[in-house]
Amino acid sequence: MSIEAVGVSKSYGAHPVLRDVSLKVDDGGLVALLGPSGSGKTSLLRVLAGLEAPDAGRVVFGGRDVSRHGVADRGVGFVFQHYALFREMTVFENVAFGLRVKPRAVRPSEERLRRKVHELLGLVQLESMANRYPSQLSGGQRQRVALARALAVEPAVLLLDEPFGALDTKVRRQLRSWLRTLHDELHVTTLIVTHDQEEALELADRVILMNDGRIEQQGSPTELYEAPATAFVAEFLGDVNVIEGTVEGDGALAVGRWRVPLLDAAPGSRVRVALRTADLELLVAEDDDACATISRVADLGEKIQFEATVDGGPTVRVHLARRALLTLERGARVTIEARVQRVYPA
Amino acid sequence: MAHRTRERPRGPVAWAVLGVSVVTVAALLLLPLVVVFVEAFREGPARWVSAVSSPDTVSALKLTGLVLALVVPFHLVFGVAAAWLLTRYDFPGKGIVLTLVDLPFAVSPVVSGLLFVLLFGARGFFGPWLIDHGIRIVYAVPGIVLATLFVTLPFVTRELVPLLDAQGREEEEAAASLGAGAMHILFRVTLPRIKWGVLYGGVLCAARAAGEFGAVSVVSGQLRGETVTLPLHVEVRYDEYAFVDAFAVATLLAFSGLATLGFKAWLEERARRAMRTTGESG
Repeated sequence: MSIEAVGVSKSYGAHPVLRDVSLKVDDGGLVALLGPSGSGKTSLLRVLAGLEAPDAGRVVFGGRDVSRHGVADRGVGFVFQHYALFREMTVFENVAFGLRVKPRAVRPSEERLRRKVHELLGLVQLESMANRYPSQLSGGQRQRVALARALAVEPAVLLLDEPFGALDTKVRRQLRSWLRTLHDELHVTTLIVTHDQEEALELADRVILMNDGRIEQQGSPTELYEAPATAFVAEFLGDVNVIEGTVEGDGALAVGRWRVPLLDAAPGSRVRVALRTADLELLVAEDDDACATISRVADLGEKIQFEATVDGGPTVRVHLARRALLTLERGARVTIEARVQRVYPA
Repeated sequence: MAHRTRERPRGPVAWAVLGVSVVTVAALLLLPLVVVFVEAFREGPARWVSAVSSPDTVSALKLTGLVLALVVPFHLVFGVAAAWLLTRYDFPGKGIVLTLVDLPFAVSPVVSGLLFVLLFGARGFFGPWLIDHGIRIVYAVPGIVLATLFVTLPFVTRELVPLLDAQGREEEEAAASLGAGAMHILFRVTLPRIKWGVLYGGVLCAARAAGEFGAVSVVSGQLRGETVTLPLHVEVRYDEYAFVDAFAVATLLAFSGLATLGFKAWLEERARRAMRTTGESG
């Protein structure tokens, strides 16, 4: 079922958290709501779920206006960052909960309920844990129980609020690809809130980037990464150096001794240039040509991070592939070359 | 909970503090308790039995039982509802309500009792109307129940507000998103988590209701066999110089107090164990 928000606004007291937000998630899609903390993404998710009432705007599920429906009547599966499992109940009873509270007329028989719960526990690979209590599970297992519990009522849409936020990196990765596989099997329309760009880019068909209660840009991961619409998007996605300055007569930006040629910038205008650490190149240079000194080298594993301090200017971070380490050591004199640049008005 | 290593007291100051505490506890708590029992049994167990089984004592016991049977269930329901309202909803004047709940703790019980006399007494605000309709509140059982309800108001609510606040509402939201209605959420999700707190508040409420003297004494009128509760009966007998009777009845209150303490300790242990086995962040 498609999910749609139309002109949704919400404030807490005098503080606006959502400003006229509209979005659409197509039926069967997996979309990530990405943004820094405080950008309004969780509030938007809660409004869509019906856990929070918007001050203005509508929520539409599959073409039907559900704005007046409470959370219990919207048919959403909601997964919380801190799992929100019922701690007094076993794993089995947690998953069975949504089935047990159904009205008598549509409540499955005990036998069918058992079959369904075991099926779901199999799906999340926790069949052997049915009689455990949530406190006896690891974080990753708890979140899988939370997912099975949400799926038990066969929701039309699945809303996940930072579902992997409280887990360590390795478990996050596993659950992420597992969730993607699960989605490809079940095709439930899914909206996932995250502040982790890697998670959003890896998991989602489409990414909606939020900032300060507004949607900054939406599109496929590639679109967002290759063509960031604003300086904020460019800075948020990937590891970026931002330099600011006034364009000189020859169309270049001077930062200390470093001159960055810009393609189409009007001389005299103030600009903000976003340079990805991976889009920069360092070349060893002689005294007069050089414009920066390597001030720090850090081995990050897959890549090496160099910090180059521009003469009379800022320090720029550059990521080079591992094999490039060869001649560049601390104190080496270099020039910096930008392969790709994005220029935004300052 | 973090493990703390416990040490024996070390140095003269520690021993001095310990000494003061022991003397205080002995003088203020143990000594009176011992005196009550010694005086009650001064003329032997047979005398004690006849004192506690006299018709006046039995009627006082019955009245106290009736008050408990009305007050405790009322406060269990009211306390859960009030705590739920105060922690789950925002409304104007919430701070004032929270303060008002504490009012009975702040006001002297005698003043609380007087309040009911001023409202429902013969010359009180509603007095003439009540007399016209033949309804007796003050110097009758309804007044005693009302006064006890008032002084025991804070116990359950006060116990539950911090508990519900600390637990947050995520599990309730999860239950709602799974299609559960308010009753399902209350009985399957919220109450199981706070049941020990509810019981604990109920025990404290019952202890206070059984032992309340000041407020009840003002509205009672002390009509023998009608409006005399157990604590009032102690005073009545004492004023009549029936000291052994008074102390014998007092032992009944002491027993109920000791039982309450035991039950309370057991509840605390259960609550702690429940916390341990179900974890903190579920």
